[in-house]
Amino acid sequence: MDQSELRELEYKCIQEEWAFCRAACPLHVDARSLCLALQNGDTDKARAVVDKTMPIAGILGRICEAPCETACKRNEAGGAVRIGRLEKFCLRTAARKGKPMKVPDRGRRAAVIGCGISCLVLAHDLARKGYRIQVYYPGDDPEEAVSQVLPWKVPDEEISCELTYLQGLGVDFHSAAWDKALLQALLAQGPVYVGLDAVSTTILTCSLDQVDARTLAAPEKGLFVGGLAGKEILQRAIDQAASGRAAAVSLDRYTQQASLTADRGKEGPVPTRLVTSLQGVKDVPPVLSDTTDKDDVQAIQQEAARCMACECMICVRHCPYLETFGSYPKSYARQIYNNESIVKGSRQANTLINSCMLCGLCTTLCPNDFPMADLCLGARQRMVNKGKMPPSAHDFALQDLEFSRSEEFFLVRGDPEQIECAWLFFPGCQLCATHPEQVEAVYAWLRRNLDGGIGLALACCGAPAYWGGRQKTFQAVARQLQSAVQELGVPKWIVTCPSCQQMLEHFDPFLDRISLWEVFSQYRAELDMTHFQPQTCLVDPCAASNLPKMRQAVRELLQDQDLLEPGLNGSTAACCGYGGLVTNANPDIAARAARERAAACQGDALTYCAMCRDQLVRSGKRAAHLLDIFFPGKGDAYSRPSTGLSASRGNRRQLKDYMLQTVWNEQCLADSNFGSISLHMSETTRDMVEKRRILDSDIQQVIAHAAEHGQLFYDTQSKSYLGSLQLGQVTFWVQYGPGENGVYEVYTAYSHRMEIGKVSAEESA
Amino acid sequence: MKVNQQFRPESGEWECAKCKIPLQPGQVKLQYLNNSFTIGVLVCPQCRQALIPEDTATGKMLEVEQLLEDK
Repeated sequence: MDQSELRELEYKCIQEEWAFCRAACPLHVDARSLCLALQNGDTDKARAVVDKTMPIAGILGRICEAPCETACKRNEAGGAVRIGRLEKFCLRTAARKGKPMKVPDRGRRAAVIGCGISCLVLAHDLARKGYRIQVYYPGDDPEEAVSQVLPWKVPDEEISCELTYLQGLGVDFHSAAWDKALLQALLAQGPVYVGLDAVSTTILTCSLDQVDARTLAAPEKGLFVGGLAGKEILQRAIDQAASGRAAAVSLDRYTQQASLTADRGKEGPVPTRLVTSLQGVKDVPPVLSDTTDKDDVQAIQQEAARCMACECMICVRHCPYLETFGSYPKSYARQIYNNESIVKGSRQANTLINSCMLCGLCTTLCPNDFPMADLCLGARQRMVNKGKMPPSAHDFALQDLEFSRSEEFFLVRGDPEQIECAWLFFPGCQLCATHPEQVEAVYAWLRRNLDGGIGLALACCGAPAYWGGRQKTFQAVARQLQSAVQELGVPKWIVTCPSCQQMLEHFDPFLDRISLWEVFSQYRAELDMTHFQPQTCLVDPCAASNLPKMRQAVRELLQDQDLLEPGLNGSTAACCGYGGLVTNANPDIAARAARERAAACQGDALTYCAMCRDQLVRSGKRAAHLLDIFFPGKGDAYSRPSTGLSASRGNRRQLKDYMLQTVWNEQCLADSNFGSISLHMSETTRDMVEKRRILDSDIQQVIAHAAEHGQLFYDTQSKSYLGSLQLGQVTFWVQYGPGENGVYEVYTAYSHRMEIGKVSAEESA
Repeated sequence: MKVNQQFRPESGEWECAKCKIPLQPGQVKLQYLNNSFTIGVLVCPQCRQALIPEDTATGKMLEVEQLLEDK
């Protein structure tokens, strides 16, 4: 990812766009922060918010016409927040903190003819840039002169206070008659601003047409004319202020000999790209009315609390992953970019990158389709290619993929009784791991009901490699599977799992395939619906969110049944936490996603993804797979526990064995040399071993190796053994009791990835 | 992980099952992703096997492994 790609991505996320009120304010006062401070009763903070962007707030804040209220999103839910009233309260009750900070003199000078709002704002803005400003007012008293040209009445003491403040910044006030002679004399010394919100147009030698509407520059060099829009003198105080601010920018650029016109799109009221959803927002009418006491603190707080603090965050609100990392996609994109740019030091965004479920729900919800999943997947691929992917992040899932590709599970066979093979049943590895009986039953059903010969492919679609960013492994999976299937001709694939559908699409977009559910919906009469339980909640797997035909087929299958649906379903289905290998890289987020998915389901859950079913059950939800309805096994399918990691491999191996023997009449797989070791462990130990992702086969190999080589320790107190063995990159340790008839009681098992090197019997070096 | 930090099993009187002699304090060099550390553990003085305790493997070692993986 390069900088321009990063910027393009960042631009798509609108969370940092200004709220509607702020964008509509000619001075961009942050009314959202103002309301937040006031609802917390913090008037000093509220005042600081106003002072940050509003000059001479003691005057302007009291007479601002609050155009922000027209733009307020609350207009659609009860009526605009009375921001103007809140601002006035804030100015009445909290004084500006701190003394004026006089910026050191940089030799820059400007003169101002007039003492209206635009003049004072210009004087303020330029003084803050280190200018020394001379303001010319008529009469003897500057306060009175200001008071006379304001569009609304402001208390004298407030005017006095603001003028004193301006003086502190480097603004001097001089009495002079506003005439052409004064203007010419001042122009001879330097740039001059004339504020027509106070001064008559007769002072000018040019016509108003000749004043540039954007830059406010007059034809005469160094002269800027504000307080007007076109030929109209501005009447609203806030517009006069914006005019003064624009003229200050122009005058400063003139002084610095910079372009007067470049990059001025952010001045004055601007459009905002922000989108704020009103979903779940209740109408609340304004608390402040014309009769409310203007200093009723409680009413002020309640009114401020009506502010919805407009933001987007639609993706974050619907994704436990995005929410967990405490920010939003724009910031995540930056973190991921920085993570890739690090040469030395810690890559702090690795977990962020590896915790995305890659479901794409955020992109569907985002008004600008921010591609968070693509961003994370791309980052994973680049990490793998650069050798910077943490080895442990996806190791277990990749080992599992290798198991599925090995002789232990991989099987592609044509129809046992027909030469041709019009169809190929591809149940997917996880369904075979959790529902081996049903896979066998579906294969038999397909052979009974479809013509043209049905082949079977027991294999993994490569999703772990794809999700883990391992493009080469994914291609190897595709090649292995495709070359085995080639032997059968060109069958139409019958796919059960929506993730497999997605992966096959990546293999070959033109692959002829259909989902099992579409086949079922065409042969509905041949299916037994008696085991359907009414009032179940149909949970769409996230992988099916872009497979409308599959979703439609499932609904057609269950057409007459009494179904419920969870909140996020269909084309906006939330992930169960299994997607993107998050159960490996961030089990906490995976568990949270499963809990949230389960909590959104009323009643028992019914789904058509083996991993969704397992994740829901792990979170304590009663859940069944759609195949449990048509091909029920023993007992209540909804209460069957999730399939453990060891059982998942055992089931796959046994399924292959069973199919080879019963369907093709072939010999079963040879037993491994450690298969004769039986394990026994308490439920607590079993849970712990599962959490640590240690398989029974790992434990069996440790015990077999220890028995063969005698390399183990013995605890004379507990009379237990502790053996270890390095398998691949991981060293496993198992503490177990003396075996009886080949059965071993396992007390604990643990592992580490650090390799054991030289051992010395010296206590210290 | 500090060099020469000592790691012992939480409980037990451990001996080498092969050599039938009690374990004694020794050192083991651990390596991961081109980094290495030496820590104090119980070892068999005869066959030089080292005992990595459970809480060391699942605690400090895991922590250091993850730190090194993010380097």
